[in-house]
Amino acid sequence: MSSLYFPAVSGIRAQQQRLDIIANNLANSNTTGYKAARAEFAALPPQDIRVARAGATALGQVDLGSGVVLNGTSRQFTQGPVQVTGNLLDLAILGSDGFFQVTTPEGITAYVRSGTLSVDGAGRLTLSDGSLLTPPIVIPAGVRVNHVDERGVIYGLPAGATEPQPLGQIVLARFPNPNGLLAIGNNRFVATPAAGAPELGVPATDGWPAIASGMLEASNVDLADQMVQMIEAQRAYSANARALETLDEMLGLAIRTRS
Amino acid sequence: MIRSIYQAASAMMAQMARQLTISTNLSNVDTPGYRQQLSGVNDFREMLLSRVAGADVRLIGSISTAVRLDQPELDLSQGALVETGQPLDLAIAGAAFFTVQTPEGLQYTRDGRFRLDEQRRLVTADGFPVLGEGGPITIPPGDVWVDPDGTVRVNDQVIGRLLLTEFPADAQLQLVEQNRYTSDVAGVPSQTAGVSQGFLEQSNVDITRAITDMLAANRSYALAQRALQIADDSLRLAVNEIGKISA
Repeated sequence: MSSLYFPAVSGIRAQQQRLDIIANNLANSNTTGYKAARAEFAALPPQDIRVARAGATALGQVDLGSGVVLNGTSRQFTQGPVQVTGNLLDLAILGSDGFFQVTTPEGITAYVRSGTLSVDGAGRLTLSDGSLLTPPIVIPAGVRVNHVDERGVIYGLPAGATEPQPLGQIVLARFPNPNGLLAIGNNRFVATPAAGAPELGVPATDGWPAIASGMLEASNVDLADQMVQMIEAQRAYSANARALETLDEMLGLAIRTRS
Repeated sequence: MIRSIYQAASAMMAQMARQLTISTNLSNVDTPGYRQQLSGVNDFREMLLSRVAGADVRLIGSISTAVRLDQPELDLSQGALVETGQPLDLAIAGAAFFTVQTPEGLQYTRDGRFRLDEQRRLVTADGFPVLGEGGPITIPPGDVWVDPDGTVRVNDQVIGRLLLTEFPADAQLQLVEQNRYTSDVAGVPSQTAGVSQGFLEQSNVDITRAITDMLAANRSYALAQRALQIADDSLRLAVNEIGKISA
């Protein structure tokens, strides 16, 4: 009996999960470097229901579907709009295929899109959550950061000097399957076997995206699109609830036949 | 008399099965590439009734003994294409399917949510290679372009061409898993279907139709239930009241 309810229930559950994902996207519409998530649904293979068939005295089978399942979520790694901040150490990647490589305070190598860098007490370039840029770049005491070029080279101006000197090179990482990356919070991702091995490269060379200093990549959540999806999900939710209700009415009738 | 009970009951079963098909369709309104199932209710083969009284055999007429749900048919009409902007989201306009290599053999899908695996092969969401005309397609780093005819190019170099398979109209397609279908007959490469890159084809479930079908199924079910009740009441009268000797 419960298998009769299952398709409608799976539909209701799927739309609920979709609404959760949309809500999370909306909450992050102002998060630097956030990548919108998408619910990935798949139809479940049919179940066999036995009913009588024409031209046969034996019972035959009719293939009826059995609902939907959420496979998981995938990230939309498309480029978000780039916004000017004026801060030299705000770095944006101008292209969707690349991540900054960092080491988290827990010692894990992680990959991020948001390049909100600052200099910590030891002169190292860090993200706001304390993750260190990897390979590390140290700004010596008394040296002022002058500019960052599109190839990711950081130039500093030592006290008294007139010519900026290169202090370090930022490298980017990319993956065959960025959707296989595991999100660990704070907009950070870690590599997994599904994502493939990271490939490192120098920005603005051999097809690698360039780095823009003084800019940040905003969230790529499209508010209008999410709103439309929310309405769709609500309607689909109602339709599935209606299917459940109808099925329930029908079973109720069957049960009340001799009362 | 018993026959009417069977008929009413078979109608209830058929309408319940129909309702199940509709709710399965509704649960998949957001499943890309999902094809809705359409089901109809049909008579059992009719039979002739005759009255036999000794040597006198007279034809009464034909009767159907029950109804049943037809094997649901896959509605292969085009779903709406929705732009996603993802380079590896592909949609087919036309009657063809993407060809997927799985351990169970070739399977076919309209769900174009593809990605690269760790060997940079084009694969489905659950990791099975999407076939080109020359087998799996391996995509080197760079900008991926998919032409409307299915030709895959990276940095203007042709890598391969997607194998789009078409089936004759009477082919039986069977949903297996992850929005993929198998077919009982071999398909042929499509010459007419086009591919749109950065788009996904939505489910072709028609909500309005599903809701109205659901209302119809519900009412037909109630009607059959009422018929069952009346047949049951008549039978009760026949058994208990006719020929009753009043005290």
